[in-house]
Amino acid sequence: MNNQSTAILAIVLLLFGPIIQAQTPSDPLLNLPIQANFQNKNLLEIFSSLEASYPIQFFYKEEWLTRSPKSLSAEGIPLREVMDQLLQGTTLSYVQYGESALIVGRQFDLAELSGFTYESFVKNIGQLDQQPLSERIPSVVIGDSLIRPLPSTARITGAMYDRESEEPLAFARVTFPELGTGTLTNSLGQFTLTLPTGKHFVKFESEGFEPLDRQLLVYSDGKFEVDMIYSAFQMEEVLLEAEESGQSMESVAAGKVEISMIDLRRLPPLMGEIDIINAILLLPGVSSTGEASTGFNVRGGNIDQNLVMQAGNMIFNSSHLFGFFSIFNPDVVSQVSLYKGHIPAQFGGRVSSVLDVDIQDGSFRRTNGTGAIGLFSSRFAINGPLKLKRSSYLLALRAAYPNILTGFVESTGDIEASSAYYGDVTFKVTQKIGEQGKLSLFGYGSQDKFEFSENFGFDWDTYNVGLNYQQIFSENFSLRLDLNAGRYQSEVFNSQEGNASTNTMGVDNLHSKLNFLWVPSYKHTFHAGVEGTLYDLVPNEERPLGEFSSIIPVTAEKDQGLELGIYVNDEYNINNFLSVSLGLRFVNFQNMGPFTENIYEPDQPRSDETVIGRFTYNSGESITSFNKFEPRVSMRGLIDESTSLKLSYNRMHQFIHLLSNTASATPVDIWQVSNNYFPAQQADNFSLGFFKNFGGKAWETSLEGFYRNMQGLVVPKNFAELLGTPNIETEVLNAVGEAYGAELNVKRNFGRFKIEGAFTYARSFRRTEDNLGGENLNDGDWFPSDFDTPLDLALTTQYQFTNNQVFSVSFIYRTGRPISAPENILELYPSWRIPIFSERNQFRIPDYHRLDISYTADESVFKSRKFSSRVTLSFYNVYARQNAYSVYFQRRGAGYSALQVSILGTILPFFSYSFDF
Amino acid sequence: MKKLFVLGIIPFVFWGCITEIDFDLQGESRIVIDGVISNSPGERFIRIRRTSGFDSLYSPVQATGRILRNGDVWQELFSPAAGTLALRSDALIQAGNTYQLEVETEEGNSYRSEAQMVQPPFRVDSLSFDIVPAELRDNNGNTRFSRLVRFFAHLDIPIEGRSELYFKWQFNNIYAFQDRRPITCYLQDPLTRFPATLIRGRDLQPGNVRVFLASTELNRNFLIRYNVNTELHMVDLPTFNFYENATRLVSNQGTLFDELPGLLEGNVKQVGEDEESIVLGFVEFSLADTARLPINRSDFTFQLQDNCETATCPPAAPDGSPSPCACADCGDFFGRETEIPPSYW
Repeated sequence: MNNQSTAILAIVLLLFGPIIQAQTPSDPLLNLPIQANFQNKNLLEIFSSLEASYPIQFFYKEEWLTRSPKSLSAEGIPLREVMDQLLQGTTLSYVQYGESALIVGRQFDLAELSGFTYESFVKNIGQLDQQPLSERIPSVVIGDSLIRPLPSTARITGAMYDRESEEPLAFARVTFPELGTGTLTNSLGQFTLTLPTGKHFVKFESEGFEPLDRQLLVYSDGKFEVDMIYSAFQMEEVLLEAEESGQSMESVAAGKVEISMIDLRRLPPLMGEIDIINAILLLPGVSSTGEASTGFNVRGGNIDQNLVMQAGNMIFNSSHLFGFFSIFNPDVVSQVSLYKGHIPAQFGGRVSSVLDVDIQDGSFRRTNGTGAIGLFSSRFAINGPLKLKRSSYLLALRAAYPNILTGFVESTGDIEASSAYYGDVTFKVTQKIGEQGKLSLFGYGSQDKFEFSENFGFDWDTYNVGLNYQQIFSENFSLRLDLNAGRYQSEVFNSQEGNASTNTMGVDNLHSKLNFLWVPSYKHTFHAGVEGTLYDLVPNEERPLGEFSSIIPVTAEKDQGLELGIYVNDEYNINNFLSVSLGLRFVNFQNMGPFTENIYEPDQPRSDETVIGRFTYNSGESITSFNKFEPRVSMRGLIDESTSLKLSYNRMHQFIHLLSNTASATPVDIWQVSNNYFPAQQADNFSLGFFKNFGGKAWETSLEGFYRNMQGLVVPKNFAELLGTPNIETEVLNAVGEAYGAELNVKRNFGRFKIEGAFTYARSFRRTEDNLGGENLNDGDWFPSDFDTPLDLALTTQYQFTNNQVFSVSFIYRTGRPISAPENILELYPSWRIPIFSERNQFRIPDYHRLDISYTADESVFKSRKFSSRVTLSFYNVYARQNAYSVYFQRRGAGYSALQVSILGTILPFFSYSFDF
Repeated sequence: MKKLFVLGIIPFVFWGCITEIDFDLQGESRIVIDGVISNSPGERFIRIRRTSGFDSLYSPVQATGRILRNGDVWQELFSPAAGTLALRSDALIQAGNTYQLEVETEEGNSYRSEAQMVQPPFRVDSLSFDIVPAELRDNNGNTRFSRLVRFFAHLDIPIEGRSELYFKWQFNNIYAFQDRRPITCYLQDPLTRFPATLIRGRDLQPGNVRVFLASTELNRNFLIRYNVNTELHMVDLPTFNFYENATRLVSNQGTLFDELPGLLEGNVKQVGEDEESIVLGFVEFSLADTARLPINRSDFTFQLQDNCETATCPPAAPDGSPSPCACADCGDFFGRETEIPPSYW
């Protein structure tokens, strides 16, 4: 056969996947006896010789056949054996084409041709010819392609890896859309499925990696591996996405958001560092009270109503430096999931949202490192195998060092005497247990310190240690066990003469969770398990500071509570159009002794003066107990391929309160478990969402409405004194709350220019009620919560100049948060002038808006990941808006003036250099 | 690069960026009823006024009133001036009794204060002072090193019942003798810890204790003689809470960590059908013990320097506010000087 015809057929063969008759032992051609005597010839010469001697035609690409096989000398052996021996040790294989032709090619390409009739090839070749080259889907062969007869089903076992790091990809998605089935990889990156033999289209997806489409040619049981490409190498990936592209429309969970670390890297960094909390603040329904505010608010909830988990450990303060950074080290985070609507029954203990941050395992195969150097902070992480392919380690360090910088400037007075820093360390050791098990030890520690002019300051620490065990018993049954312990502790000192003091407070916790995952079929995914949390409060303790302090040491009563939960949740795909997630959780909470509980005069406001007795509980004795059921329901209906409707309802309970009496939560707010005076919080969350994609999935839009009703809240009284108060129940009032709103999200997720806009209109209110003696705020009427910001707009755009240069812009607008403001001046004898404030939250500070830009140049597209680097230049608050953190009122002459405190009231340039190796 | 560093440091100086903004502070007009009734000569007045929103212009309200003792009318008040009611000088309140104020305004509204149990006076054993170095900050954030004079009271705190003691210290009639010959005078020192020093008995250890009261900068007022005059009022809990909350409102600087301000409710309510929701002010009935501490030049172990010998101060502002001069003379500082010695001098 001449080269031209060979080339033509090779193109047809390799590009369009035609087909060929199946080879069977009875095929006359393959049984054709051959007289072979091939020595020192390459394959091309051998095939040419055979073509010349026998009625055979070979189709091939010449460059494949340059190899010389071992010498072959035989008489009368079948052509099949000749071909097998010639191609032994190569990547080549062959298939019969028609009655007299053999196509020689690479195994995968040839296998794709198997199982089809010549007629089907002829029938399909016209259509295939129309397909552009780029849409050709590579194939993967599973099992023995020569086995006959083919079994009806085959059990396939696969594994997904990061191609560069060779690390397994946990919780990656494997979907067979035509079969209507799929699964997730386990923590070892493995999955197992039983499929009909034949040709199936499959889609592999993992957060942060390019989606991969393949055709599986399943002949019999077999294994295969898939290497995914890290998206960092492809800057055309999505920036900030609600689940995968298009998944927000398809997933059954309303209001679930997954954030990839790639997304984070493209957002304008604050102070040169990317940050998870700052990223989720760009999502609709998520807000904060402003710069330098701890935590975040979701759909009108308090910051303590968010369950924040890191590697299964509870986090009680997710902020560094008052919220400029979060405690999550972006270099070690593998997955971030925010549940702000439907919360599956696997999660409990908070009524508003769940932020679940998972930490990656260290590499089992090679040592990797990553780090960044910035003006204010630097970080470094290293991970690698302890024992090749069996155990690994991960160690990450971060530190901010503004103190060092202050030494370079000519500052005096308060600035010179002020300091702020934070540092944290994360480690994880992972050991594989057999082929289907994994044991991890995780640890985290962080310290924050802030001092102002030696007059006052704070420090707060978080320590977590956790043991995680995962075991896969079969292709559809696995378990995960978490055992965690943690401590959050904070301290404030005040050097004010006469009242110089220190206050310490915090919360210890022990947490365990056993979760079973059972996937009996593609239609059902069951989660069931038990969870227990022991809250052991570090009592607020006030101590005098210095010899002239008049402060008398006070220590609040130590308090503790045990929360137990049992749950089951099924995600049920009823059909291609309707899916539901049904869950039920039962929780029991017990407030336990030892404790001395005050008894107050009936029908009188609680105060130190109305204490009429005390009741002492022994260690472990139950003081009060709550038993609650929590139904969780979410439903998704696909109206058509691009449109869906979602409904969800959750009832949630929470048995711990964060007591705060400042404009924004601070590190010295006090945690308090539920007891006879602090009720259990309860929220009923409703949401309704309409999702629509346009232009395929190029444009994704969603409109979600929500309503939340909250019971069992507490709010501080006017002039509540939380620190140094032994009977803290005297400082709060019972309250209820409600929040409602609509969230519109529009995202263009295609091409070099991407844009996402999130617009939220939402309200959040509180009302004091059921307080003894008629003690209420605002006459018992509804009033806006501290974080009620009706209008919230976040706009993020990204333009990719080249494959490795991205320019990002983000703009935020938010209604000013509510405050109380003076309405009158009271002149008291002899000449004291006191501002008389309005009832709570009747005014608002000025609206907040800000524009940030950043430019990122990523070298990794050009270089091996053995060492890649990235440079980011960003400008925070480009037009130097002096946003109000708070407004206060100060006497000026005869009256009072309103003064606005701005935290970052100017443009701030930042530069960082980050690297991976 | 240095500028870059400076920009970066700004976030850590949280109140470094403070600007005045327009804010609609116009509130409703409210009735204000306040005053202190004690047995001290200067504390026997009740004021009845009306605010006109936030501009702090008070207009006096004509009214009649009386004081109830243990629920019965005890003394009718007389009106020495518009908007003022006074108690006769020979009517002395007594510990152990409850007192209330009743007022009727010319507008036809009636008001009544909550009943207060007058607490017995608490004896101040003595006052003392010491001097410590300090770094002081002016309104612009600049700092300078100076010395503070700290004043202390010495009390004998009982073991039993101390948690029911509420101390309210006032500093009245503090004078410094100033020799700016040919002018000499007694200059009133604006030592105004607002509204007073407040201490809960439960926060003090039983026995003899030294309680920090206040401090002031060691300045030229101490060159010759300085006289601290304190009054210790024993008040009940609601009164204590009112002053404590007022102190918080005044000292609120709007920083990240200041407590949320709240509505400061007084102890006077409108009575009758046409109830006004909020009445501003507070009426206090209390007894006080007075303690004085003279401080003479000879009490210092070092030589105080008068740096104002050659200082030239700018004139007062057109609105009459004092010039920002630390070397003010007797005749041009606040108008609080007198050539007549205070009665206790």
